[in-house]
Amino acid sequence: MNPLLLAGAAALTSGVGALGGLGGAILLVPLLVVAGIPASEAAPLGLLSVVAGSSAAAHRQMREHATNYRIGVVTETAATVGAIAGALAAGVVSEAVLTWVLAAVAVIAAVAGAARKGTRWLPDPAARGEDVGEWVGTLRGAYRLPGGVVPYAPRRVGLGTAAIGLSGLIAGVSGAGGGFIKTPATSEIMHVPVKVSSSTTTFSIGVTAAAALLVMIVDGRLDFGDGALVVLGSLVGGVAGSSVQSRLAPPVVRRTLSALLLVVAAVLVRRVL
Amino acid sequence: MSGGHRVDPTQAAAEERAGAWMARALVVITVLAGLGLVLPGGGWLDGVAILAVTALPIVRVAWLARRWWAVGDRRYAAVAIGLLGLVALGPLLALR
Repeated sequence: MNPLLLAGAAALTSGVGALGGLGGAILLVPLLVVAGIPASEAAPLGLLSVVAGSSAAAHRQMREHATNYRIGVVTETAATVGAIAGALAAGVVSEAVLTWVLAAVAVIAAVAGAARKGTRWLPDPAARGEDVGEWVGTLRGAYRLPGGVVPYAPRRVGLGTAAIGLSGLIAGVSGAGGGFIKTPATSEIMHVPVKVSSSTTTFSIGVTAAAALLVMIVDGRLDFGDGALVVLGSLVGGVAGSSVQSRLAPPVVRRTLSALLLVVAAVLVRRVL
Repeated sequence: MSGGHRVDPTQAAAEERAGAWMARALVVITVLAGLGLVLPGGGWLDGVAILAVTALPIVRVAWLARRWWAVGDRRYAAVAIGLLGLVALGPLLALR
């Protein structure tokens, strides 16, 4: 593949991925396969894109204090187990079956995200600026909206963590980051605000992808020259996407995420047909 | 606001410092990856850039574990340390 096209595709998909907390790989991997790169070579490039995009978004997100790292780390334990198992088992699962599963999950997540109206957690007049952030010793926290400070408390953590474990498995097998499952699982199953879910997912997908990528590097599945191009493109795209994300209101992020998921599903179905 | 919760008052400043550190690290990684692509025989620089960018999320988890331990949140520090152990397990299993 033309080096400029490869870097450009990585930049574009990382930007879109950071926008919705998806990770760019869910878009990049199908694009690379359509461009003629074998799926086994596209997978580590996709994971590399996720790792770079996640780190590129970190600077801005660390200033916004919307990430709940405790939720990210707790759910990431399941995602990492899934990612390592998936990376080790890659090749055993039929690509056609996996692609249909990916497409179905993307559609379900899109519908779930679009169906819910309004903002679940509203600003609390009693909450103050000093409440913003993670609360020590719990998974609860508060974040800031233009209308005030919004406290939140995750629910159904076990179910959400199981869904996120599945996202890790898919990431490890296919090279897609799994953010397209993680963000809806965190917001719709665990009832974490979309902005916090998105920010937390952007952090945690970097860990998932790094875990699976290390396995693939040890297996000798990564071309370092192509990898460097993907790193360059993804860093630029990740910074641009995260800067736009911070200016969007939760309903806008949610609708954008749903639209992106439907596009992803269509790309995946086209890939398998 | 009542409820007995506690926000780590040093977290925000620490995050901003860590964010600035990460931004500098990414500039170095970008330069390394770029040099690796343009310099003859610079392929090893690509390898260094890729390993460094892969290490960043893992370093973030280690940083969180250290911070949570320092503020007395041992339970979540232990979860973060366990996560680091899981990440290390993957390549070891792949080597076998």
